[in-house]
Amino acid sequence: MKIVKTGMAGTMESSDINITIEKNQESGIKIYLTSSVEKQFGDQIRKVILETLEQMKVNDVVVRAVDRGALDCTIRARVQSAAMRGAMSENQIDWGLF
Amino acid sequence: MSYNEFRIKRIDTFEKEIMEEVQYLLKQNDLTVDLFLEERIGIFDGKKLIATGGIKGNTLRCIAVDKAHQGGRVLNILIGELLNIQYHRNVNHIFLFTKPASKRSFEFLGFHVVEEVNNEVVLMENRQDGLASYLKGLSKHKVDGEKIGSIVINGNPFTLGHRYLIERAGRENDYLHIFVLSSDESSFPYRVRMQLIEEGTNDINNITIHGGGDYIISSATFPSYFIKEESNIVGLHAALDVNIFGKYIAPCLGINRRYVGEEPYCAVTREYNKTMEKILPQYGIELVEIPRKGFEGGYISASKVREAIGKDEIEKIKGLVPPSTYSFLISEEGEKVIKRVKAYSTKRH
Repeated sequence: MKIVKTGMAGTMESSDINITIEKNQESGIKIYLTSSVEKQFGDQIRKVILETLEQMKVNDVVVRAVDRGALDCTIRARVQSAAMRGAMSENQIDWGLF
Repeated sequence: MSYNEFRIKRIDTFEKEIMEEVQYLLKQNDLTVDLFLEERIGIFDGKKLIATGGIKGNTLRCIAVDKAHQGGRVLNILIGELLNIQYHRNVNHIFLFTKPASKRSFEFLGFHVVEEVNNEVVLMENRQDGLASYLKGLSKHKVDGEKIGSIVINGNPFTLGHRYLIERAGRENDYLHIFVLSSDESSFPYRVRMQLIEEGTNDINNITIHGGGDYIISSATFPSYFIKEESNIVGLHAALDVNIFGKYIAPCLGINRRYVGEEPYCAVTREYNKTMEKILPQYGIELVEIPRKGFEGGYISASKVREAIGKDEIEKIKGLVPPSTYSFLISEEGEKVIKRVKAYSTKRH
């Protein structure tokens, strides 16, 4: 999936995560995470974001995540939405991917 | 849009009663109302306004939460909604000013400190690598030399006064970096200002012209340049902008001098120059103030050019601008810009 513009999903509310995905001028996936539970779950959150992107075959992006204690399923859903908005394919979802 | 019991609503400046509440809330937080925002929203608990915030360009402005709702989820909802509006406006690199006491709250919301001044004001951005990646791009233009000069200009439009300053700084330095303000709040659009500066200096070899970007006198780093503010705020904003220049931008290009024209007219610019005089030497940068180039008993200034345009006295401009600016103004494209300048004629810059 090719990211063509900035995609954003999620809110700043408790138990949610706000995800912004944009093209990376360099190669690879870079994740910037702000989390109220960084110390306990920072690595886990990064792992879920990365896995979700890999599943969707999204490469070369910068991800900015502002987490307010979201569960893994929420994180996955927000990353998926943000990526699809960024790829401008919100209305052509390939459910087989998930 | 609603979040359980709270209602989020757009606020128009002409909604008198609600604007009074907005003003009250801002005042409660020691803030003044900026009437020229592009968007303003409020969060209501029943009928009562409990939070407000607005947007101008790439900045969030006039943010205030009722004392009774501070430290809770109201700020999260407010900022989340403002970021959402910005996203739909296609603005994703966002800045805000706040007081040091509120810094932590915004850090939780994904904002990072760009620079802080005097324990009084903090500039924050929603990117951890915002300033760093700007500097990384800038450093590619570094040129070695002993004396490296710099000039920051708006060029609204480019005059013989600018030309005089650039010529002199070019002569006195091994290399000269020119930064053109990129905020599109001036009567001449950024693209045109840039073009006229490039055309008017293309015979000078030891210069590079940069877009000022978000970190040099932009509506983020120095909003007072574009709106009228009380003078203590102007001083703070100026200090913030000059510190960013001295601490980050200048070292990145090896700049050790900054040139300005003396300011006989505008109080905000004068205050800014005074701030530079105080702060730049702390970073090993010499401020060189050059008397303005005279013309027919007065001084050349871009505002004089705009004034003449406003009065349809294009002929009078000839002595104030280089041939490149003049021939642009009498061109077909220039005509369109002239219309815009006339519409702006009440504004200062």
